[in-house]
Amino acid sequence: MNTTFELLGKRINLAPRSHRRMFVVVIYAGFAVWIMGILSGARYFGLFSGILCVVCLLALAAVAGTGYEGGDEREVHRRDHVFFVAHRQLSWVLVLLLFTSWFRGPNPISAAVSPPVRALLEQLPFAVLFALVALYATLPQAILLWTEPDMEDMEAEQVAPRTSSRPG
Amino acid sequence: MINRRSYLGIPLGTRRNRGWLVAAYWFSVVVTLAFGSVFLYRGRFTMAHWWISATLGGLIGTMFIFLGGSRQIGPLVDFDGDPTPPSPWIPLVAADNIVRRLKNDAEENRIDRSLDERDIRLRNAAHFEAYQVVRRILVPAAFVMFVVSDTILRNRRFIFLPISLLMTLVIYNLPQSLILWWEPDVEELQ
Repeated sequence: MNTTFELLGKRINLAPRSHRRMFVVVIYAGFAVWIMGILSGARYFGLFSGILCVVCLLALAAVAGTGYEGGDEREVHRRDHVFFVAHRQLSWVLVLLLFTSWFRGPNPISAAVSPPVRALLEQLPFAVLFALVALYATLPQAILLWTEPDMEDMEAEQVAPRTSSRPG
Repeated sequence: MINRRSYLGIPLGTRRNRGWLVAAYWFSVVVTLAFGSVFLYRGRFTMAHWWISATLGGLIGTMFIFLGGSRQIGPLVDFDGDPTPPSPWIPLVAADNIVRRLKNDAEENRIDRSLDERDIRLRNAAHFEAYQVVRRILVPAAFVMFVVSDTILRNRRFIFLPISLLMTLVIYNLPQSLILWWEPDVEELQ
């Protein structure tokens, strides 16, 4: 996991957990915009949201990797545990997907509501499906970023001895 | 990870038997969902339609817990290591008898055990492998199928639910299937 992230030349320190959590929130906000962009049907907003989604994926991969990286036994154990937690959490999204997919089949609720609400209910399963795709691609990395304790800035550690060893 | 000697009369000591159990399970899942989707498409909303739908719902509900891994029902221990017995509340009336039989079967054949370090490692590894399969194959495939079915097929309103169910069952039960498949024979372990 990288403890720094460069955005437009500005270096963001991700060593503190609070910063990493903020980063995760921003990434998922980007995915939310992506889902809204697709469902809105607007061409330019959809294109912008698609680009935003790719940027979010790349940013997450730059910080936390793909999630499949191995390492020593402890790291493999931690990685597998994160995947176990992610798998269990996604069960709730799947239950939500099942519930909402009911609105695309014959059901008594759709017939009873007004056309705009019906259209919204018919779109809802797709919103959950896109959310599922985004979560499946990113949740292990996000859990790792969210749960890892505060880390010392590795770069600062490397720079400190160098600066301190400079003569007077 | 296996917490009983036999399951519905099938001895679980050998890998071969467990392989058959897993294969039979997935075969029944596909058949049930295929029948369900055809039935749903051709249904005429009569009383019989709703009864058969409820029965199918119960059957599918049972499929979620059939392989275990949660709430001490099924051949695998609870993945969270929860030693409490399952709640007597059963949400699906149609599945009542099947679940009751599974519970009785569990009590007769239960091997008392909780998760040890090997179990936790196996559980996590199975979830990691299952996650890879789902992330690389199932989610993109389902995504394409949903989009294709929604834009091309005429019966698009009826295909979303069966595919969602299949995807949910695969995601939910793939780790359990992998563990049943991976665990060596009891003789080998001893």
